[in-house]
Amino acid sequence: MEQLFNISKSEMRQLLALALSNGGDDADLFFEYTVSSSLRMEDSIVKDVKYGIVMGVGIRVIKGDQVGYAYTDEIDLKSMKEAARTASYIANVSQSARIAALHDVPRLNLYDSDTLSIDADLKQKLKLLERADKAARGYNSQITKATISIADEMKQIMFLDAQGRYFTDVQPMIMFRVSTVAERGTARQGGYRAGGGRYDLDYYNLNDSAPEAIARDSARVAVTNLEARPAPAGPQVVILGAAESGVLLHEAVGHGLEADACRKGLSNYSDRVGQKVASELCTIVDGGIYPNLRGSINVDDEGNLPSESVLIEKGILKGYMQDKISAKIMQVQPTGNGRRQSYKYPPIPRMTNTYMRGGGYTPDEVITSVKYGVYAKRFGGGQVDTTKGDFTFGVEEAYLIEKGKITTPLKDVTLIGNGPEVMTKVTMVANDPTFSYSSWTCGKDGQRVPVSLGIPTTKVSEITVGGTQV
Amino acid sequence: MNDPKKLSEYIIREALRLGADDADVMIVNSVNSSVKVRLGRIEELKQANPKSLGIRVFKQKRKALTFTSDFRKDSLRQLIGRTMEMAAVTTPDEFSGLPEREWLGIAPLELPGSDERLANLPTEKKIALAREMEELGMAKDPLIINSDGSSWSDGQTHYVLANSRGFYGEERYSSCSLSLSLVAEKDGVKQSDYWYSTARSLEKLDSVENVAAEAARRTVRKIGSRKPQTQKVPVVFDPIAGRDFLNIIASTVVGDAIYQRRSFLIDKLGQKIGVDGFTVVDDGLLADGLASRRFDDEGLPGRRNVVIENGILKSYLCDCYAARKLKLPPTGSASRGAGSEPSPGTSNFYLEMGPYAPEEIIASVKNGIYLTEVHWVGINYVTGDYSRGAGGIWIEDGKLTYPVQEFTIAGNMNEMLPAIEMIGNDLRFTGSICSPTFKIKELMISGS
Repeated sequence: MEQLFNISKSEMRQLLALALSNGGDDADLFFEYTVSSSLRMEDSIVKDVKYGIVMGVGIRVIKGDQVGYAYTDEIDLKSMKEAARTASYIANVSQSARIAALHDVPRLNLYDSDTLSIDADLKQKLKLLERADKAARGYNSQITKATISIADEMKQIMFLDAQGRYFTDVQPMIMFRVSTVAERGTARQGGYRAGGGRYDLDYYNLNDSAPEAIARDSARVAVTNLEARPAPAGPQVVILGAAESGVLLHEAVGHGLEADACRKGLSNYSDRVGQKVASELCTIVDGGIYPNLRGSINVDDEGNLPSESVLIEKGILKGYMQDKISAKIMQVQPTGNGRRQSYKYPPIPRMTNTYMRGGGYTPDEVITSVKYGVYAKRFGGGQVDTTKGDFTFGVEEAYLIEKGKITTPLKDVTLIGNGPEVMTKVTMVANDPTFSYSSWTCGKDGQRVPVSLGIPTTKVSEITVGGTQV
Repeated sequence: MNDPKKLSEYIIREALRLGADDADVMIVNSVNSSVKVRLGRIEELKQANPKSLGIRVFKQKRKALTFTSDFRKDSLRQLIGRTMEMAAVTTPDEFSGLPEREWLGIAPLELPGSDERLANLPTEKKIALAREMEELGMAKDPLIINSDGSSWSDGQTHYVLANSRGFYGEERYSSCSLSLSLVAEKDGVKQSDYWYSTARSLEKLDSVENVAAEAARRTVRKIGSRKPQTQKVPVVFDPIAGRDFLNIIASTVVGDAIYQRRSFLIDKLGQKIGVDGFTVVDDGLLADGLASRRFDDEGLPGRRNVVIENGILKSYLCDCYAARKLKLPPTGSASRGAGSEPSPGTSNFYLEMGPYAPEEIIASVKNGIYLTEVHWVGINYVTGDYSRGAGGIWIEDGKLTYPVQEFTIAGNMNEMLPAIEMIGNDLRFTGSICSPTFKIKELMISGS
């Protein structure tokens, strides 16, 4: 990969030396060359086709918890040296780290990067769009619009730090999205479904992720929601559907367990390791180690191996998601959660794939246990205030549960609550933990990274449901 | 090849040579720097010089877009070739294409340009400003116990847009911002909030004293918050909550949302959708506007569009594609980055002021909410159904009392617009989308 970036290993060591010329504990170089493409169909015609290249290098100098960072889009030694000098300004001590001999760090092999979708013939992708378009329109005469896109990227990265730790990685990503609109008279509703991960195009040969399956599911939601009625307002029993409701864990728990917020006293979970923070039915894990998921990584963006970190075990807080800086300050091992959007940002603690382990009930038993409540099947986005733990979510597909049965679809359900409080109200967990393969992207400090999430069917005794009906 | 004008000429020439009917190029070069201080110490110093270039080609009503940060001539030549090959895969679309020649132009508007004072501001000064702002904020109230950082950032951008129909426009502009995020604690409950200022020149930026004071005020006033009862009450939107409300209109009044049928404003042009006095303007020519522009991202002159006038929906904001597809006039509303297709968007988008002081509006409410914070999830653009997580202050007998959190407000845009009762006189152009305070007669609160 040195060839791609037109730099030799000895020049990389020179850059590190320059970065540490004012002192500092550590420094690293992060080279990136990302190629992305997308194809979008609207009204059955291929409207947009796009292809792009982003390349550059980010140089970081670390001194304790302080970071000097510079990046440049110019891959020439002069510009890179200037960036190294800029990053060095953070430190002003005479003592500086020695640059150790270069060695490869261990890494996993979680995605097949031999056959990259980015290299595939555009016509192959076009066929997938046509298949989805046909399936969406054929679902029902009420479908009036279908917008379909396929987007993929290949990210090539190369890393070296002052400890001599070196790696390269080629990270693929692909996502297929179908948006539909259903209309009946003056009633109109939208549906959205996406599927993908760190796969190649073969993923769309599988039954569940075929373009037809994704398109029909998008159409089904739009058509179903035409019948939806307003949600009951106020506190309700809520059943979280498997897979996509995992976004509740991501927002309500995950962000508060990222080590930077915790060590700075900015999280509700600061200084609470060993304490009971959730119902004993909850075991919550973050792991970047599952093949092909969006949040999976062979190695994190600062050279640490991803792990399967148990964050909460049977309700007890076990630990936080760590990057290099936080782990050193908190005197624990890094957990492989140091991630960055691109060379334009320094790594910070981020989630990978966050999920809850299964419990002892069947999904059916969980649903039939509810006399009156809300079944939140598919979540849209969410957000959280990490300091206090308050969260909000939009639910794209929800139903009323009456006498143990799923009945009327509900429209535009919003759930609001306090993360730590909701987690104590988990009263049943089913045996169907499932990951979501949808287009989850997490934003923090202005950086967006791909993640996945999952959850089994889960009963929460009370969440406030935003609605218009009393 | 570092001169953007020459570079744009080369790319257009090369695309036409390879058979394109038309082409346009966008080139953006920036220099950015930022400083983040937390609890008096520098947490992050950052500097960069990002650049990007986008190429669009059109051939027989087919089109493609490519972008790159690699400006080397060989790489660019390859990329132009690839762009042409890609266009062949798309379907001819009668509405696609560059703007008609007579649509192109540059509005005679004085913009502040690049701020030399800002470009020459030493890093030490930026650090000192961030430090001072944090110190001032933390000292405002003993309940403030922590900081999530005090930040400075600035940038200088040079932007070029050129096309094969003879348009060439370039712009140099600066930006700077200050932001402070604080944490207060009482009885074991932590609350955080922040405040910021952003401007196109150092001179227009708010003082660190003002930003610190506002960040502290917003944080401390959340202490002691309660969860309100589920009920229907009048809701006063402060300018922050009002901005969120206007954002919903901004997302649904654009031409692409209309032809994609993803808007509750479909088929409503010329209709009365809101109350008298509810006038929404998108003004690309606003003096000192943060989003003012001499030309839009397709090369049409910047202009002022009245979107809603006294409650009547007057125009959809359109780029050239949406205008052709909807058979409406283009409104100079194209917006894009180097790596994306144009789509219609807003410039300086605001609700015109009404006659009432914000205090009068609050005083008119016997029992209701003064909304100060709205979460971004929970709006269905297709139906206008609105159900947003929110925070604010409870109003009793016309007076602000205790803070409230952990509730949603719900309604439907089609019913909310005609239910706006009082519009404030406190419009300030602090961002590109701005609102004065206003009151909605009644909305559903879902709490305990």
